[in-house]
Amino acid sequence: MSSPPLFGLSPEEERSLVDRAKAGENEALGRLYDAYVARLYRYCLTRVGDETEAEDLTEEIFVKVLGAIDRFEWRPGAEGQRIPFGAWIFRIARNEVASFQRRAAARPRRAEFSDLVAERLRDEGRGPQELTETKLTIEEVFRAVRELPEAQRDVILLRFASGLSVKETAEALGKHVPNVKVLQHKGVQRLRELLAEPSGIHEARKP
Amino acid sequence: MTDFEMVEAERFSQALDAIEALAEPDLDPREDPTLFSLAALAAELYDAEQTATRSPRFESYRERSRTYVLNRLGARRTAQQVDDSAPREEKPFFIFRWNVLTPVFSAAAAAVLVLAFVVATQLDSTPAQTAAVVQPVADYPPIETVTIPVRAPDADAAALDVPAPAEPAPPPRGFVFTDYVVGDQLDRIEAFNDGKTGPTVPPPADLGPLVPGDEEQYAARLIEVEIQRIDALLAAIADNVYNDQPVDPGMLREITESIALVAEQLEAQPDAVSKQQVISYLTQTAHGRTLLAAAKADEENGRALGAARRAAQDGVVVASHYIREHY
Repeated sequence: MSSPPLFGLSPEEERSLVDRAKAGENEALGRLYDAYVARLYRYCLTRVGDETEAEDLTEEIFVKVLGAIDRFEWRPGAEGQRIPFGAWIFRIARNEVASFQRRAAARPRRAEFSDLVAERLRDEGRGPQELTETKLTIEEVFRAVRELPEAQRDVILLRFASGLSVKETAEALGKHVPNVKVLQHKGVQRLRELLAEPSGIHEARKP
Repeated sequence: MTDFEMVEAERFSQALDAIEALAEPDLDPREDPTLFSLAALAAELYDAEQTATRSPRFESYRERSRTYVLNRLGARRTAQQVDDSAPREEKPFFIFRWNVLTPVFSAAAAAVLVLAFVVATQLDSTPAQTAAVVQPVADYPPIETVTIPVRAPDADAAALDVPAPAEPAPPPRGFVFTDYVVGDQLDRIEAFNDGKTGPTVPPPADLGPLVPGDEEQYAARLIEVEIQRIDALLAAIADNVYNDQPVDPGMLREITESIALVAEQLEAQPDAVSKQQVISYLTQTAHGRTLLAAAKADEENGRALGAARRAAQDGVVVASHYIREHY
């Protein structure tokens, strides 16, 4: 079983950076950007399925979030927890992505995510055999994620793409912690079912 | 939701906590094969997601976007500080409303004129009279295909009736671009330009933190740097256009950002801008507008090209407005 990378900053570091960023310190804003850019980009990419659009969207969200950082407050959230900064960011990101998708609903998608992943793996100089094997896995995983019911998909994305904790995910989605745990469990179960289906089913579902 | 489901969800969550802490989850594949396989899938899911941000393209995006976001935020803060310190002008009620009503009245007046013309034509004109007034289609000269030439910046400035510099603009007051390049950016510039022929484009410069009280200087430096970048980008875009090649979307996004940043500064820090800079910016955006109109669109650059064209158009408007207001 392979291990996930470590995400982000410690709560103390993050709090200090947020306070400094609120005071207008450019370096703190830059470090918050560094801490969240990959997580936010992955979230956007998995939701919209297009690299260029995910890049534009990530940038827009950062300008919006960091531009409004002086309005962020460490106020108590659900179950007496203080609202973490990550949950605040992804709450805004979720709304922005939804709004983007409403605007883009009439537009056809330019490229399937699998093509982009294949292109990226080629960039990394992997061999054809490895490329084929890895491509299939990633392609199916991402396509399956997009087929999940909305509530499960939101939890899976925030937990696995964005690296939020269960508590942060609950705060970002305005749900209770036990509810998030159940959605996470059901989401991964459903993913396993979707991934076990023959790939022809996915192909047949493509618009 | 049954108690069993709750317990299973809790156990799965604990297994994920262990995976996130880089530890092995306390699960036995023989005793609990279902939960074990779910945890294994979750670990794969983490890895698959990471793949999306392990590419040179993402690294390049991250650096470019970081500079853009931080510059944009700096410019916004500057504008906010200026706005906060500026005395509020109280507008009389009527004048304030008049700003809104003027276009409404104009539209209404235009509608009345059109209606009057239509009614008059219907009541008084015979078909013969109408034919005497309206030139037959056959009398128009044949339509010719017009090729839009990519004009020099000076020609665009002249077309807009703005005093263009008599000679090509000299390098601005001892400005050295690399003064504002920090860290490893010099290496990156060299790496970016290494082995390339034709125009080269420097990466965005990091101007460092904005020190309170230094807003005007900061804006002046920012404008100087961005005008240099726009020049380099226009040269690179012109290279593509002349060779009938589609322009790289990344380059289009960069020029859009640079044009927008200068426009923002013209509005936020008007006193930080020199006349020479505004004229340079106007000639650049006017030239850019013509150049981008002639640029070849393809499936990859369509949206970025559209945005760049709008930015160039907006840049011309902002610069023209600035000149009208200040000179």
